[in-house]
Amino acid sequence: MRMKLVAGCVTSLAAVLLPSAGFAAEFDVQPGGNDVIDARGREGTGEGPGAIRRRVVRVSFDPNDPRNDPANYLMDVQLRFDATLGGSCVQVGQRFVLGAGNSRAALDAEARVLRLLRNYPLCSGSAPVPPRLSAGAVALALWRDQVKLPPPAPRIAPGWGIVGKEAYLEIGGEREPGTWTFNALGYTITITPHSRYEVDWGDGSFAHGLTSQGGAWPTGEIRHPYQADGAYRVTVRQQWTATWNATNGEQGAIEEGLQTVGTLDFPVRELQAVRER
Amino acid sequence: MTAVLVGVLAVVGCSDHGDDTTRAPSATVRKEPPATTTSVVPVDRVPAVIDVAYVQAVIDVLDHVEGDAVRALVGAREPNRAFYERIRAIYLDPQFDRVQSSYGRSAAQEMIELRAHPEDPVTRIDRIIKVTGDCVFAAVTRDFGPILKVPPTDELKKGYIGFGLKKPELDPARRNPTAWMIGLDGATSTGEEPMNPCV
Repeated sequence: MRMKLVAGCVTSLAAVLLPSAGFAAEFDVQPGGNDVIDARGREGTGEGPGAIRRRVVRVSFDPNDPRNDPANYLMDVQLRFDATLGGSCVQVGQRFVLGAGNSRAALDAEARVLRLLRNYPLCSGSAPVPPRLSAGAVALALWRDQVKLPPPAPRIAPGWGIVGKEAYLEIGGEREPGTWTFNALGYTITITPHSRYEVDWGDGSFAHGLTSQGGAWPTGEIRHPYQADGAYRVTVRQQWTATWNATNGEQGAIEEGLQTVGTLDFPVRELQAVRER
Repeated sequence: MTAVLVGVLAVVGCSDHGDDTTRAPSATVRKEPPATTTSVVPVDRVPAVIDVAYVQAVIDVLDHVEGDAVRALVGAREPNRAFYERIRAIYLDPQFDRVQSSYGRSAAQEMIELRAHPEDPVTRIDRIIKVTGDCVFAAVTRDFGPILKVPPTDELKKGYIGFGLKKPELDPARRNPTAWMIGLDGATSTGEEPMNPCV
């Protein structure tokens, strides 16, 4: 919540203390920072908080000024309280973040707008939502809200294990469950999920990045020897990412991971060989 | 909420009156804590002598109001009237807008940067730099760690606060019992002390 002041502003305080319109010219751009300039600092550009991503008004006559480059802006999404409405609303603006215009954060912000607008009205002072969001943002929103991913179903035959012997895990469910196609917001987008597994054997042992679904004894690839008897909970986490393509030729990857989880309560027993005389 | 934003030093309360002869008489400033402190500091009025103890008492109250605001925000999972009234009552424009934006971004991301049970921010008045009739400017150590999941570094805690006289019309619900509002909360990017903060 701290406001880090720009030196140029401080040393020209008298000018800054004039009414806020026009103070944007006082901004020093701090390259490389994240979240370095509050978008609403652009109020002096004539565009004000009504700005939306990629609609950039020239803010200086220096062609190399990064503030003139649309690629350095992303959508600023806020929830605010609207005293007139008596409730929350979505405030959309734009923010200057160097090099972030095509970043994951930019897509995330657009997708967030879609989600929020399902539950909240647009604030009266907000910029309009862009009439056409990017295909990547739509794909991300669909990925978060519409794609129903199957959970893993772990199983270890015959339902219990023996100390010192390897337990063979079989992961039911689908690792590559096919594709989802949506018609949304002017795009036809196909999303293809991909997954890997993580296994928590319940005794402090883990396995990561598995692409096999394992199998039964003796050929299953996911196996683990328990060293002590007891009741263990085996947890399989299926980590999902996706690729997408739109009929307009755009395509991309969704790195934001989703997760589905399956568990198995697994008793392990100790057996002793007994010779009878 | 990313803890560091960049703003400008725009303290409405510390407005530029130039040679305005109608300007309120300046209060006397005592820059160091008094040898003895009083147990009750009346924060709802401007004393003849503004000292560290007084400013500390003011910011303690404002920090508590902000803590209440954040607790209302987190509790409701969205900005509600209880949040808005408090933030509006303690920040002058345009600082209010920046603070509202910062919390608003966190709210838009399901309070991702706010603690589930936020406490009050903690501010220590290190030194009073300037006092005029309608402006107090001080070097502070300000810690938002009690409300943030990731506490700020010690470096980020060092900064400045500018107070302007309270505008009662911004606090119709009387959430702010002090005579002051925060017009500036920040630090210089160079680390240099601002010159003429209350001109």
